[in-house]
Amino acid sequence: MGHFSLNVDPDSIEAAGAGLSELGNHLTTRSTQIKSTNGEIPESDWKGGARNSIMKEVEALGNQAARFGPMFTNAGTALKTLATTARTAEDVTLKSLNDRWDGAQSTYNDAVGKADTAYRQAVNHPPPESTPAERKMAREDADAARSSAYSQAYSDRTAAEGKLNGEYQDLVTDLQTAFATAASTLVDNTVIPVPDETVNNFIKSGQWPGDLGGDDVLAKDGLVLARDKHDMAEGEQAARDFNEWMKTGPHSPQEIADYRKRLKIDSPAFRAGFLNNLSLESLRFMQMVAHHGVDAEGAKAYGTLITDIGRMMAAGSNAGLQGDYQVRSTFYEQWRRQAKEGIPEGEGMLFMAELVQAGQGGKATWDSTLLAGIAKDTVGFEQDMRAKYGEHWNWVQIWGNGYPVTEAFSNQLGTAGVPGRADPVAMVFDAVQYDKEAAYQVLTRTGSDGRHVPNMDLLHYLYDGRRNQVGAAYSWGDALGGVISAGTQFTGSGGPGSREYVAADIVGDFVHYFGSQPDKLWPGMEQDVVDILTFHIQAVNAANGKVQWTGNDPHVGDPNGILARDRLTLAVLQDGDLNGLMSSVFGLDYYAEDGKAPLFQQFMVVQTAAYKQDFIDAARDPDAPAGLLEQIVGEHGAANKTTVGWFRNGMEGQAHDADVANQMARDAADWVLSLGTDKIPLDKLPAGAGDIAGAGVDQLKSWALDAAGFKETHYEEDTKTTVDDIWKDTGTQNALVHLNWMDEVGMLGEASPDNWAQAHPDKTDFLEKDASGRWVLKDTVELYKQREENPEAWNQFVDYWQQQGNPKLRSEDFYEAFELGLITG
Amino acid sequence: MVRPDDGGGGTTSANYATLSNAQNKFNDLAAAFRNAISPLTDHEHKAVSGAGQFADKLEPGAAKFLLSWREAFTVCEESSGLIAGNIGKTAVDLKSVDIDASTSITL
Repeated sequence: MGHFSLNVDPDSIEAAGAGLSELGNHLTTRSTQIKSTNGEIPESDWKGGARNSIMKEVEALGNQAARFGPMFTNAGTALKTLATTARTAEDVTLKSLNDRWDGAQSTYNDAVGKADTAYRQAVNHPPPESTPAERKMAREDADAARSSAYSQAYSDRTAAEGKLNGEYQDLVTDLQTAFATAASTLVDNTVIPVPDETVNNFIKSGQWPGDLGGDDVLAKDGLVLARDKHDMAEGEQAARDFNEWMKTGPHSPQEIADYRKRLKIDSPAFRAGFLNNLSLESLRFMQMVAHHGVDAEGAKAYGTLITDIGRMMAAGSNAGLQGDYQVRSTFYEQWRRQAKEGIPEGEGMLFMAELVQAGQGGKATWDSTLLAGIAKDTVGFEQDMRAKYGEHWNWVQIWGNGYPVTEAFSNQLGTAGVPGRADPVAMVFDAVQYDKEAAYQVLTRTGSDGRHVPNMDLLHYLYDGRRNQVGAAYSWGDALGGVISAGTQFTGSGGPGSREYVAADIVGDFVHYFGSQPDKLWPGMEQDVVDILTFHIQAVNAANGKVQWTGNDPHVGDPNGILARDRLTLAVLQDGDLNGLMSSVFGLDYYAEDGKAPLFQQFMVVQTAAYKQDFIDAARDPDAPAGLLEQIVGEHGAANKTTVGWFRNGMEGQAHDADVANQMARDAADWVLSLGTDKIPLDKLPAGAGDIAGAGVDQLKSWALDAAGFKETHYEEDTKTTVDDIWKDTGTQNALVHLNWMDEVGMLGEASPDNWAQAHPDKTDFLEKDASGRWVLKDTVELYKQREENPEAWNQFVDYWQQQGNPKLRSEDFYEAFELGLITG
Repeated sequence: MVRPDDGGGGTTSANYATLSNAQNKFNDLAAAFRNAISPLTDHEHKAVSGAGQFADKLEPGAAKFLLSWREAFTVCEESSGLIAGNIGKTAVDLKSVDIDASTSITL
C-alpha cells in the first residue's frame, strides 16, 4: 500500500462494458432475423389488412434493433475505454507516484544520515593538536553544518511531496473527467429521453419510474403498436370515467378542462377505445346540462368538450382515418336512433347536429355516407314535424334563449342572435359543405332506372320550402350555398347518371330557380353562387357562345371537341337567368370594404382564364377550323361586356345614386382590361422604350374608356351611359390580350421562335435571346412602331407569323387583329 | 405459444407452419427484450460500483442509460408480443399479445 491510492475497480467497469457490447452484437443479429420475416411469409399464406400493418411493425422493429445495436456498442466501448483509463491510472501513474514518494523519503533519510555522520566525525574526532577553543569552535561549526543539511533535506523532501501531491490531484481530476465523459457517452446513446429529476429520484430511492412515454417516442419511427395499445386502453378508461362522471352534473369549467387533457383525439386507437365504450345516455345528459343547466361560462366549457367528442366521433366514423381501429357501426346507428327520441321532440336532432357541426372541423372528417344520411334524416325529421304539427312548426322553442355552447355553433350564428335562431338542418349543412361527396349524396337520389338524378323535390324544399323553419337567414344561406357548391364540383364529359351530368343538371336548375326569382336568394349565398358559376364557367361561357341551347337537360360533351367547353357536359344556362342571378349577387360587392369587388374579380379572372384556355387549345389543335380564334375573341369580348353589365346592374340596385354606380362599373371595366394588357412584356423593351410603351398602354386604356363615354359622371343624365357604350371601342384592348396569348402559343413546339431561328439564322431581326439563351419574340408593339425605321425586322416577323405563327388564323384575321391592336400607333 | 388462429380478429387460410415459425420468432423476441432488462441492470450496477470514488460522476449517466433502455426494451417487448399475437389475423387486435414466459431466452 503506497502513500497514494484510488478507489476504483477497472475490472468491474470493463465487465459492464463487455456486457453492453455483447448486447449490441445480439441486437444487430436480431435485427437481421427480424427483417427477414416479411420475406418468409408469402401472401398466399397470409392476406388481409392486418398483414400490411403487422409487416410495417416488423420492418420498424427490425430498423430499431439495427439502430440500437451500434448504440450499445458505443456505450460498451465507452466503458471499456474508461476501464483502460482507470487501470492505467492505477497500475502506471499511481504506482509511479508512490515510487517517487518513497524515493523522496529515502533521499531525505539519506541526507539526514550523512549530516549526522559528518557531525559525529567532527565532534568525536578533533585533531589532537587542537586547543579547547578550537575544539569548541569546531563543534559549533559541525552543529551548524548538520542543521543546514537537515534543513536542506527537509526542504527537498517537502518540495518533492508537494509536486507529487499535485500530480495526484491532476490524476484524480483527469479521472473525474474521464468518468463524466463516459457518462455523457452513455446518455448520448439512448433513444428515450429521461428527465434529470426522474434519474435523481431513481438514484435516491431505487424505485423504478412510471411511464416515460417511450411508446410515443418510438412510434415516430414507425413502431406504433405499443403506442396504439396504450392509447386504446386510455381511451377505454376515459370513456368509462366519462360514463360515470356524466351521470350527474353540472361540472365546473376546471373539471372539464382537466378531463379534456386526457383526450388524445388525434389518435385512432384512443378514439376507438373511447367511442366503443362511450355511453350515449351520458353523452346526451352532458348536452342537456350544457344547454339547460349552466351559465354562459359553463356552456362554453361544455362546448369545448362537446367539440372534442364531436371531433372523435367524426374521425371515428371515417374508415380511412381510423385505419386498423374501427369504431363499431352500431355506435353510430344507436346514436342516430337516439336523436329522434326524447322530449322535447327535435332536441335530439339539435344535439346530433351540434356534434356533427363541431366534429367536422372545417374539412371532410365525417364519413361521407353517414354524414349525408344524417343530413337527410334531419330534413326528413323536420318534414315529419311539419306534417304532424303544421308547416309553421319550427325549432325555435327548443333552445330558446339559452347560451351558445360550441364554438362552431357560435361562429355560424355570428351576430344573428340567440341559439333559438339555430336549426339543425343549417348546422348539419354547415358540416356537409366541406365534403363534396356527402353534399352530392344529399342533393341526389336514385332514379327509377337506377341512375343518379338530382333530388329536385328536396332541392326546391331547401331553396324555398322551409322558410318557417330557418332560424337565421344568413346562416342558412351560407350553409345551403356551401352544400350546393360542394355537391356540384364535378366536371367532365359524362352522360345521364354520371356525377358530371347530375352536377350540371343541379346547376342549370339552380341558376334558373334563383335567376328567375332573385328575391328568393338567401343572404349569405353570394360567394357560393360565384363559386358554383366559376367552377362551371364553361357553361357560362357557352351561354355567351354561338350555340344557344334550350331546355333543362344538360348538354353532353363531345370527347373529341376542340374547346374545353365542347368536351364537357355543361349546364344549360340562359342569359336572362344569369342576368337576374348575377346582378343580385354582384350587388354584394358594393359592400366589400376594400372596394375591389371581390366577387366580380373572381368571376372575371376565371372567365378570362377559361377563354384563354379555349384560345390556346384552338391555336394548337391542327383540326381547329379556320375562324375559330376569331369566334373566341368575339365571344370573349361579348362575355366581358355581359359580365360588366351584370355588375353594373348590381351596382345600380345598391348604390346611393347612378353616379356612384357609374364610377364603380367604370373601375370594374378598367380592371377587366388590365387582365390581359398587364401581360405585355414592357420590361423586355430597350431602355426608355418601356416608358413609352407603358404610357401607350395606359393611353389606350384611357382612350378606350373615355371614348366610350365611360367617364366619371357628376350629373344624373350621364348615368344613361350603357355597358354597350363602354365596350364600343375596347376591341383594341381585346386584340392586345389575344396577341399576348398568341405569343404564348408560339413559345412552344415547332412554331416557336427558337425553332424558326434554327431554320432561318439570317432572319432573326425580330427576335432576341432570353436569359436562358433561347430565341424569343421582341415586343410586337415596338416592332410595329418601328416598322418604317426597321422594315426588315417587321417583314421577318410577318413572314414568321404567316408561316409559323398560327396556321388556323386566316391571314385576314391576323392582319385585322394586329391592325386593330395597334390602330392608334 | 398459441396457434395463429387463436384469439380475436379473423384469420386466414394460412400455412400454419410458416406462421407458427414467425409467431415463435416474435414471442421469443418479446421474451428476450423482457429478459434483457435484468442483465442491463446488472451491467449498470457493475459500472457504478466499479467507479468507486468516481461513482458520482458516472452514476447520473449510467442510471439515465438504464432507465431509457429499460423503457425502450419494454416497448419493444410489447411490440414483439403484439406482432406475435397478430400474425395470421385479418384485423389488428391490440388485446392479442403473445410473449413467451421463459426467463432463459436472451437477446
